[in-house]
Amino acid sequence: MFDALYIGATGMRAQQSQIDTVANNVANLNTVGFRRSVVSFEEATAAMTPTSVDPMVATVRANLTERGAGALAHTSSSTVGGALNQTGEPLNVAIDGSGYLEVIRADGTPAYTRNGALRINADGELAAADGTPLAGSMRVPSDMQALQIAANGEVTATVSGQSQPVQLGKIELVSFANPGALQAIGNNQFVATTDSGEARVGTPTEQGLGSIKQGYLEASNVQLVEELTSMMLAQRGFELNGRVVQAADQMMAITNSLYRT
Amino acid sequence: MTTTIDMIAGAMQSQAEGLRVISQNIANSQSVAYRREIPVSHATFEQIAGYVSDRSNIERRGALDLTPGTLQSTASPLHLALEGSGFFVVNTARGETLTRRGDFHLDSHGQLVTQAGDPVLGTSGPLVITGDQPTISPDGTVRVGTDVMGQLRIVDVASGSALRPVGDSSYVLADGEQAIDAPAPTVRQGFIETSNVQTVNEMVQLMDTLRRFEAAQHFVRGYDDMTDKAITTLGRI
Repeated sequence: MFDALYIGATGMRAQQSQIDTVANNVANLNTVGFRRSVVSFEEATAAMTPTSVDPMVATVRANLTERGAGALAHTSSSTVGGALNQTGEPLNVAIDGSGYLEVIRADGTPAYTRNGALRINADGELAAADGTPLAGSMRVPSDMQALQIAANGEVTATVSGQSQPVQLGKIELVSFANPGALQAIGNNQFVATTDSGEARVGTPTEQGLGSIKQGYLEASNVQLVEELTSMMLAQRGFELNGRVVQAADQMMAITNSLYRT
Repeated sequence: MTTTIDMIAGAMQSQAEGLRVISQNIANSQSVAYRREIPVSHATFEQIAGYVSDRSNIERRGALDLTPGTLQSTASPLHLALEGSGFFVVNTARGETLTRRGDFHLDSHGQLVTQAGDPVLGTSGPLVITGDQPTISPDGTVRVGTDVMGQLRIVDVASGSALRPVGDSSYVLADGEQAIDAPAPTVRQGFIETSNVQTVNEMVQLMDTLRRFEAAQHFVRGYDDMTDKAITTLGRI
């Protein structure tokens, strides 16, 4: 009878996931190349085909006889770029566009990242901050004196005793039709999903991929003020839905008190 | 004798339904482009007057409040909002649906799709956007540079009762209703529309509903007392 109780609960749950997302965003305020997650709320009805695997949402839907079934929270990752900060470090690169760097994980599958704080890993290869090598396996000579990464991704090294810089390889960038659907796997890395589309490899500076800027790092795109306002809204929204649950409870109490012994 | 009790019970049932609608509105007070539901009871005179004790077949269909929400800037080039009336048309599994929710993106084939992944329709089928930084003019024409990629199809309906919600702030036309061409749609790029729920109004209605429910409870008790008196006092010989 009192669908309102369940509907209020879905509202509270949706606000809860907003709070969780804000918490994760704020924790990554200073993570290099971090892209904030964005929660959007959507209306649910009992007639909707259940796309969510969330057991509680499924229960709520199954319990509802009327068509309104509350609200759902949908999380996607923002694709707005962060500010580029100059560091002067030769192994720091930032992408001035929509492209991602490709790294090859230990199992041979690719992952994608915007974190351009590179390093040279134990095998002497150019790698991401966690040591996962960049695609194209660029081996850096041990007697290297300076490393140059050009805007178009060409990596050259100045080696002692040679007047001409040595070509090490080329950093390529990848783009996706729907980068918002990339799945985060931690360490600031993402993998492609069916929703994001296949990775399209291209040369930096072409097709809107953006140029590579050596000596820069991309800051997190989290805006503290925005996150705090979202948090306040979520808190009040949670409270509001809580009131509805209370009201439904009160009405049930009244129904029960109709019969006096 | 049963009529009075039936009428009060009916009143309590419609308050409970009212609470459902209020809770749905409140749960969606931050849902993108959500349109507020207005509780409407379609009861027959006999049902209201309590001549028919079976009230289960009263059609409870909420009307929609089509007042536009406010526009919120998101800076995303594929977030679109409609100023004034009108709806985007989306091709879904259940046929064409109408929505004002414009937080679109491109799918893996470059098609303009909704958050659920259903293609948004242009004047000639789904819109495929190839290339970067599309611009969308207020009349819905999608361009990349100077190339025209298509034009968004925007329709309108006569009133909120012509629509039936199917979730996700999208609607299908109720039986026998027709969509009409939007006279002068205004598409705003980089904006989404907020929900049109005013939480203050919903809270006031919530209080009102609760008190009406409580009043009905007192009627039941009063009536019960009366019947009690009739049996125990008046009935004594």
